[in-house]
Amino acid sequence: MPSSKIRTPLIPLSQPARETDKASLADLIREVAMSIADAQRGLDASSAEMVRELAETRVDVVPAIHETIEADGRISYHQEKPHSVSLLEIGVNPTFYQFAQTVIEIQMDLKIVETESESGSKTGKRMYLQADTAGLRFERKLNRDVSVSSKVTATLVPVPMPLRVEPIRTTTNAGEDQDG
Amino acid sequence: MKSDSAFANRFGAKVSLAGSGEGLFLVIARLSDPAPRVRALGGQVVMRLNGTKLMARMGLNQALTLLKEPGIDKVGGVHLDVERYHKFLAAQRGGGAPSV
Repeated sequence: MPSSKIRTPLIPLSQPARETDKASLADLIREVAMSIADAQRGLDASSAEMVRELAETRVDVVPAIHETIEADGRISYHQEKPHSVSLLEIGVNPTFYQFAQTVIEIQMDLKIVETESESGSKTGKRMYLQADTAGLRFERKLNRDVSVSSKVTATLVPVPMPLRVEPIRTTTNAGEDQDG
Repeated sequence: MKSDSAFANRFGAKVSLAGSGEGLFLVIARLSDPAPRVRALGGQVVMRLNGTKLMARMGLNQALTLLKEPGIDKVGGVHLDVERYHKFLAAQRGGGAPSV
């Protein structure tokens, strides 16, 4: 979960912007894909921040408590010296989330266009697909057809912590080495 | 489980949370103890870490509600790797745990 309630927008809403009535289909798809990638990066950053919190949070762990029953039936307890360790060290991991499936429906008109120079001559034979959403927006406004709208369906699932984020941990028992 | 939020409702969004009941969350408050807020939402404090940080057991919906509360800085889902925990304890007891 993000640390702030709403993240800083990629493009501030206060920044003046003009609606573009057409765009290259390739650019449109790339922008949509980048939006998903940015959202995923936000989720990963949030989980990575949680890794830092867990690494910085230390707790005292008592490794063992020895119970001794005396001959006269008295029971005494001996607690081993507590060890200060981080939550990450004892196996508390953050939950990572991933967009398992994202379906985006965008209503648009597709046109095949050809680039031209200012003099009207064709510059090479550059043709591309152009997406036009302005016409459909008029359709929605004038005919009040609410079915002409874009739709996003996203499914998020928790996934295991990425292995590379996890440090390789080696434990050596110094006491055993000295004895042996 | 359905989540209602004004932000989602404004866009006509339907948010459904398919969760497996309760989970473990790390809750970090800015200044005060977050335990009363966790309990008020029906959560259970599992471990107090310091005055502003604790681990609690609650549902995802409750965690999302808690995140919106003033004074709460972070609420993040965590889980305990039991295998590693046992290896850690074995190493502490001098059992010579293998590398994790």
